[in-house]
Amino acid sequence: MAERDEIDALLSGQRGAWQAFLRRYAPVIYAAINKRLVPAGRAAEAEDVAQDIFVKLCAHDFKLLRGYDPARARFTTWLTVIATSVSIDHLRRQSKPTTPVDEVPEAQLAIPGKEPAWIKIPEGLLSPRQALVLRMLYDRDLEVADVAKLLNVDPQTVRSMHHKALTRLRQHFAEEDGQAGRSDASGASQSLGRARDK
Amino acid sequence: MTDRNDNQSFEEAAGRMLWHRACERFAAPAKPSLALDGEADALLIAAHLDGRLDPAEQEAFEARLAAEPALLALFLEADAAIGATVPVSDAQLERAAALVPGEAFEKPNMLQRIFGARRESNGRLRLRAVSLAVTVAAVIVASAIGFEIGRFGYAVAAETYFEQGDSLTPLDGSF
Repeated sequence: MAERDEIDALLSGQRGAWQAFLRRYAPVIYAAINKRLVPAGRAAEAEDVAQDIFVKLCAHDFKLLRGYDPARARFTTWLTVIATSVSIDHLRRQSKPTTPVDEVPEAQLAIPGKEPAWIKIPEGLLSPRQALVLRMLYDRDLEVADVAKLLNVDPQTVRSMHHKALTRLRQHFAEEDGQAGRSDASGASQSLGRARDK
Repeated sequence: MTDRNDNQSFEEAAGRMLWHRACERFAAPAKPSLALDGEADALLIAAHLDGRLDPAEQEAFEARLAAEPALLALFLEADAAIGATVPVSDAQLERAAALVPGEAFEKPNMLQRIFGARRESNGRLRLRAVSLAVTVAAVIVASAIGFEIGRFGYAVAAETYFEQGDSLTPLDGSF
């Protein structure tokens, strides 16, 4: 049965549609969950997260599922995003119950890096794509090739955007520093002048 | 070769410092992290991952990715999980299937829709059927009481009229 027909069967309340849906898509959902939970050492909670996702999909007469638009994205892609989002929220919401430190793998005891800040780049300084390239390279430590793949462009284009973005930032801060320096200097000379007048 | 590597790492360190300065300079107040409530965001991320955004949407979405760390994290995590599947046991499928009982997919017939006569899985009659029966019974009892009170009141009034020789006495004099 085609993807669209399966979803329609589920939404129209056909008997056995939910079981068919699970057989086909539970492996996709569990894979996305494991991708998040296994590195965090919380694989045992995968089924809780999966149940959470299934409940969300069915709740209020499949409201979430009805929000999917096949014209916008493939169903498995959309489902993977939903499953990843619920997994991230699960990890954030429920900190691990008390476990003796000796039983926790050393890698999980590492102090997490500082959460990247929210930013609002002034209009005209950097293009959204330039800012995103810098964010991916420096905050997420991605390789140029990975960034190029995510943005669906050539690696050389990424290098070029990176170079232009840094040049713009350098110019911006040089001007800002220059203005600050000039205002400091003019402020100092004005005070000097006033002192001399006195 | 070593000089070139040194230059690259120096440039990278300088670029990183510049970017961090920009992040501090242009820091904005954080909004709540992306939750599943953002259904539109889930579809937007999926559309971007499948390359189905038009250029204007793409630019707007990339601006958000650059500004919102939580959205970027979700985007990257989802991208890493695309196309992956894992085997799921029958027991896991059974537990998931139990979340939606089979009768949720049965279309009720006319009588069932009116009287809610289908039984729940625990064997109890639907609340709708019970409340309908109680309402009908209450209406019947109220009507019977009202009728009896009316009949009694009319009998008392008629008796009074007989005694006073009132003209309103029924012509046949019977009740």
